[in-house]
Amino acid sequence: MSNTTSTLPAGQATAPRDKRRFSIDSIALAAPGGLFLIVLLAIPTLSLIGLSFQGMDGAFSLSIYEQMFGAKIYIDVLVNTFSIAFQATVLCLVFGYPVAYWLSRLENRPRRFAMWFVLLPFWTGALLKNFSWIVLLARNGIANSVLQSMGMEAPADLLYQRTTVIFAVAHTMMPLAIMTMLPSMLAVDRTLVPASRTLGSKPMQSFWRVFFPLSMPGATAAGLLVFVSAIGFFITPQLLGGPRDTVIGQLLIQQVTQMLNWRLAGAIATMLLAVTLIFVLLYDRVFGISSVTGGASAKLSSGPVRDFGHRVLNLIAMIATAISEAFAKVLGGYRFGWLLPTVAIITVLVLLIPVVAFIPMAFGESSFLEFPPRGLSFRWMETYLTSPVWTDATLRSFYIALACAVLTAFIAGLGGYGVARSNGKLGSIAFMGFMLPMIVPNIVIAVSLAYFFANIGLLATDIGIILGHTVVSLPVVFIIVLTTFKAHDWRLDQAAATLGANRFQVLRHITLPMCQGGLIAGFLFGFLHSFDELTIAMFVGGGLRQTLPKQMWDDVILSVSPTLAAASLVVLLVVTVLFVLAEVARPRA
Amino acid sequence: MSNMSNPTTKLSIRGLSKTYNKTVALQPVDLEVKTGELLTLLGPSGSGKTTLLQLISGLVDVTTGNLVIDGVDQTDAPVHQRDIGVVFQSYALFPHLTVRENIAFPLQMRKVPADEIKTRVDDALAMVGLAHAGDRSPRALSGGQQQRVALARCLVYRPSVILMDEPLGALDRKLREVMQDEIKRIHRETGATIIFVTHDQEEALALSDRICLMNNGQIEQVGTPREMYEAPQSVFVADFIGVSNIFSGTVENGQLRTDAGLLPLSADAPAETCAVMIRPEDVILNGTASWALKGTVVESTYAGSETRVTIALDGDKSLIVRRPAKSEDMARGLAVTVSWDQAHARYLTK
Repeated sequence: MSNTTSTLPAGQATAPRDKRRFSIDSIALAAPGGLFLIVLLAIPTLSLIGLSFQGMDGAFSLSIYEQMFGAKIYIDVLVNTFSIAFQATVLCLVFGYPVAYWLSRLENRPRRFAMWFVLLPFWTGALLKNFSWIVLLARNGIANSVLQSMGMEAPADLLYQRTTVIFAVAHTMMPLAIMTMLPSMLAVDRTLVPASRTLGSKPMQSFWRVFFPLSMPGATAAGLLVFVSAIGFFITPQLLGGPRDTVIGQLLIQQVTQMLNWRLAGAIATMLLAVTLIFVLLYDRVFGISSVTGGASAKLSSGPVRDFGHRVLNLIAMIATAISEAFAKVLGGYRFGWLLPTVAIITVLVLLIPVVAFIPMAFGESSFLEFPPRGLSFRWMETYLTSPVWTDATLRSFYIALACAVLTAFIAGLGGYGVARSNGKLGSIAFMGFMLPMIVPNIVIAVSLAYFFANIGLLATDIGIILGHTVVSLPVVFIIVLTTFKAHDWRLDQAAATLGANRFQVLRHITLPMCQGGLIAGFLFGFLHSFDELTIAMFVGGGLRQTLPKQMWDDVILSVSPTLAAASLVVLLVVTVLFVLAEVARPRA
Repeated sequence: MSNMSNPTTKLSIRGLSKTYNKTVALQPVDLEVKTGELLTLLGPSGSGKTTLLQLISGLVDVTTGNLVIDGVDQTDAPVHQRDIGVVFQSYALFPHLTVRENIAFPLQMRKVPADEIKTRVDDALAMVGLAHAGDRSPRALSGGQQQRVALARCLVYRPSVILMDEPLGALDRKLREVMQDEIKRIHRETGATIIFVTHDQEEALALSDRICLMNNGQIEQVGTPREMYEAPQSVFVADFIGVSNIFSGTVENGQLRTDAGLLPLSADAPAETCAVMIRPEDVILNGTASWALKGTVVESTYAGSETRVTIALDGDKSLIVRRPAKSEDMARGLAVTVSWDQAHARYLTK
């Protein structure tokens, strides 16, 4: 408590002042985060956008856009990007939904266990999984041997095909889709489906007319997040695609790192951002943006969209029921209970394949990557551990991740506390603000920051990378901290206050000990996020400050050597250990 | 006696039981429900009443026994073919549908023509007094209103049996009493057969045609509210229904030896009597009977229509007496004698 209140005479005059000050206090804690995001997200992005509307002489000009939309190559790249992103999103929803549905129906314990196998590929990051595919899908790789043993004549060209690119993008994004869909499925009242059964609906009708529409907010949020991430995604097209599969992300890398053409980069980023915003706004119109985070409203939407949706669902329900009832009649009962777990488990296994495949490859004997590896040796581990290029990159990644985790936990911790404690409009604005780095494509953030840092001398510095990583890891850490603080029973703090604890003591003895699990988890997830981040490191690092993922990227572009497998194994180990720690620390709702 | 031939039997249960892994949730039980009656399944939590309800609804698979509705064996029938209605404790209203769409749902499942659906939904809404709220979201309604929607959704397709799982549990006392009257009225008007689960004995007494009292996965006693209150067959029933004074002991020369002293037994008391039960309103203070127990007043609570007096007896035993409100106050520590008319005492054998 401040001195002013104690020196004033007790009475009515002090009460309202105290109250007002308190409410300002808590939301003010989100201010550092707000300032951070204005300086490192809003200003860089806006100035890059601004640049794209300037001509060479600095005056307003649309010349760069004319140039962009006038060249067929750019149009092709745009079409590629959206078509790959769209198809990958559809795949994610079609295969992710059954997995999430299956998870949602498990009991708590088996569900937690099964979720490890979805979360592990989520946190291993895109790089590793795509390296793995290069080896597995190579001309003389294991996928081809399997196909040949099944009767295929010549080895198929699995790499550098559009289908493979779409599959691998979907594969990379699938865990994100599953984790986004699951909460809204778990939030569906468990009595509703049994209730609909007692009201006379057949199993398929219950699913399509009751469960499915109630799970829609999560599914559409997943579609939005996957699509937005996929349009800025370049790792898979670069590694697994041919020249005809070039996407916007690759174009951006080329324009920035090779041509230093900031205006064109700005125009591409502007367009990416515009498309993203259009999708977000459309989504908000139809579902309300709060459903991304699982919030539900008491208001039913109305009008033609809803009617149409119900009609479509009723039609699907009718067809599905007819099929399932026909089978039930022939087979004497519903005999397809095994189908859902089978599809879900196979999907999860496919998610795990490239992650697990790396482990033996790191210990192979031959001088190129292959699966299954021949012989057992530690020579590549040795190469990795004795090469200064690799060890430098590893150490840099460690301390950048550590610094990023500390900074992120600090900003998100304060912000999460502030938002959790405020119910006002400012609170929801702050919430949206913290979520922004998730909505703006990472590659746009990366290019904008690179441009911004180039102007203020932070390009190719560790500090630049740390700041960039902090921007992109803020949303996840913020959500974890916020849910922790929201789940906290604040009456305990009030109880402590009535027992004579001052605000600092309450924080130290009650709030922090009770919320420490979530805070530790937030810290570890911040670390993880930074440790396997590539995009920011690529643009902001400027090719001089190599983090481990960036080093791996360069290595894979030049030559896929087994040293890469050894490095990947280290990343996998670090990620697994931290992720297990974080999951254990994280409190369960 | 065959149930099949008895036209007034709606639902008949024979040796129905449920075991989860190795835990027995319901021992094999027998129960008959008559057409048009309102039967409550009453009991403490864990007594098996909800399990029994779930077995009847078909939401849970039966371990042993069978279930006959309207003369047809429904033991293994799928839920949606049973023609039962369930009102859930949480109401289970579909949040993505309006009130009207919720009520229309069971009719749509039965492929009722659209114009008939409309009139029947209107009727159901009118019956529960929510004609104005048809186009609202269930989430925008109060608890009592949601309860009414759940009821309307169940009544609209006229199921042959309605199962209610503690439907009033989430309501406050005032609203609960209003809804009890409502359920009684609807029961009277529709003639529906209702099985009602509750743990609240007052609610069971107020609502039921008959009460089925359950304990430890078994049925303790089935009877009308009056039978349950006036003629309990076991210590558990006597203790669970209403307020009671129970003295357990052993029979000795035509008397019952208890901690509180020797109590007289009437000539018709069974030889295996293990306890005597007397209701608080039947206890006589400072009476003129040939026997009496001595005690002292420890508490006297004024409750408007009556005064409740707690009296300490020998052997750490205490006894509750209900006196008309206008009778004179009894001071703490006052020495009194207690006795009762033998005709009011109940002799319990288990």
